[in-house]
Amino acid sequence: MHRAAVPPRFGNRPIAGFLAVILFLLVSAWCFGGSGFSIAQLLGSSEYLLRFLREAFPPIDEHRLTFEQFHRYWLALIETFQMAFAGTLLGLVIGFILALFASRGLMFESPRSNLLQWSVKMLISLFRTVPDLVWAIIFVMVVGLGAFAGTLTIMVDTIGFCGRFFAEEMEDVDRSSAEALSASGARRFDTVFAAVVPAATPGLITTSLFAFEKAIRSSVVLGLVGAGGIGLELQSLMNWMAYDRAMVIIGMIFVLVLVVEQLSSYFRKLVMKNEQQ
Amino acid sequence: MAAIVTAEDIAMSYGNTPILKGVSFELEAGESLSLIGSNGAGKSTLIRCLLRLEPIIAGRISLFGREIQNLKPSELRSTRCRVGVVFQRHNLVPRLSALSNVVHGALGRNTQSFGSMISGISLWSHITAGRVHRERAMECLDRVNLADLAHRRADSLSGGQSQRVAIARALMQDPDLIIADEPAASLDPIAGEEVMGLFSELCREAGVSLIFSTHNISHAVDFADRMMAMKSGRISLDGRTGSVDLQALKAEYA
Repeated sequence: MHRAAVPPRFGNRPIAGFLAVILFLLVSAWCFGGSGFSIAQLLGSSEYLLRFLREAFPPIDEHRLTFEQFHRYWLALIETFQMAFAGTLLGLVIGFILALFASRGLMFESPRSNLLQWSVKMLISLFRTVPDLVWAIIFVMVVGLGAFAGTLTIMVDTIGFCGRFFAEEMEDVDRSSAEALSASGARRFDTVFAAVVPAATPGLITTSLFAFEKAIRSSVVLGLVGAGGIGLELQSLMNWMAYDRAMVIIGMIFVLVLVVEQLSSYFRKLVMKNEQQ
Repeated sequence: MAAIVTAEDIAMSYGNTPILKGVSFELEAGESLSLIGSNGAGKSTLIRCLLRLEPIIAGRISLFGREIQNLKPSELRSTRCRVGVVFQRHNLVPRLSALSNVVHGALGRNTQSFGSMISGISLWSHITAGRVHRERAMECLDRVNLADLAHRRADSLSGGQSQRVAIARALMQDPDLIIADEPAASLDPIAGEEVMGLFSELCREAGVSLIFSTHNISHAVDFADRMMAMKSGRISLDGRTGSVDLQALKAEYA
């Protein structure tokens, strides 16, 4: 007699799924155990939170925040923005160049070029996987305290982020229009810039805007390790328990990040709208 | 007249599936040739092999007297730049203007010396292109009756308009041969007729040779001097379009 085949959905899936759920729960329990998460501790320390809030408000007390201080914070905020902008710009340019070589079959197509592509991809991964604070510590050690170290950090971080996504965007472009150009004798270099890059442009722009948002957020904390910007001011105020002035800085950071995010999303929508027409 | 395309006993396969099995033909300067055959007969593959977009596994292909299999990349480019190519779809860079796409036709001519390589960079878009190239591109668009849409983005054009831009780009190359792979296949009947008419008229005017593939037997007969029919990787018929029996062809290939 001929045995009917088991339909795929009645195969081993239910057991495998059940085991996966069990495994997930076990891993979660293990991680919460190790993370020291404790509701009791959180509730028990409300007193400290209240103290912080009590001392932080009102944030601007004319006896405690002088105009000179505020002016200094303002300059630090401007510096934060400048670091983020300059670092992102450098990172975009270098990231784009690296992405051209990291993108599969874009600039060259031969077994030897696969090695090049792989090496560039690894370099980009290295930039991306090492956290920005670690880069900041390294650059502070190399070029000293201040905004330059922060700018370099943002640059490296942006290369890691944009190198990867730029390469993926150019890989996703339909290559047939590039092929049409190369069939009529155009150099590969020309087909990349005349056909592939224009087609990838909307994606490149939105990725760049995300990169800038990310840079603004990370430039705020770089000051904590001495790499310039407003983070340094925030850290020293927290150390001195000057919570009211710290609150002023937190407010300023909030406004900066919010404005940049809003602008960036406005420009992204503009690009999208332009594409839909 | 000398043959500008010579294919001698060419064979090609994708993996273990043979696609072309010993195809031979010659095309003389000024001649127009249509290729017909059902899907999978090998028309597109033959066209791709002629341009060395696919490698052949046996036989020889010469364009303008040069055997293309053994050309160095720079020699291949200088051979290819004499051939205008129009594909069925996706010819154009979607986000650029019609004019920029036509300007791209000059890219092939700009790879022969280092100086012209540098000036090739200006040909990435009509905005950076020099006046000479821009004016020439406008002339080419005018010849396909699209001068008024020069600044429209390619992805906002209809299928027929896109194919006419692709033809204008091929004209921009000032080619000796135009090769078109089913240029009318994705168009409605009227636009298809227009595009094919434009092709044969422009080629006849400029003395350019033409090879095109099509599923439409009336196109194959009306717009070419000579036709070749393909069947499972072989040429099954080769003759003057005036002398073929249309009814028999339609019964066999339509």
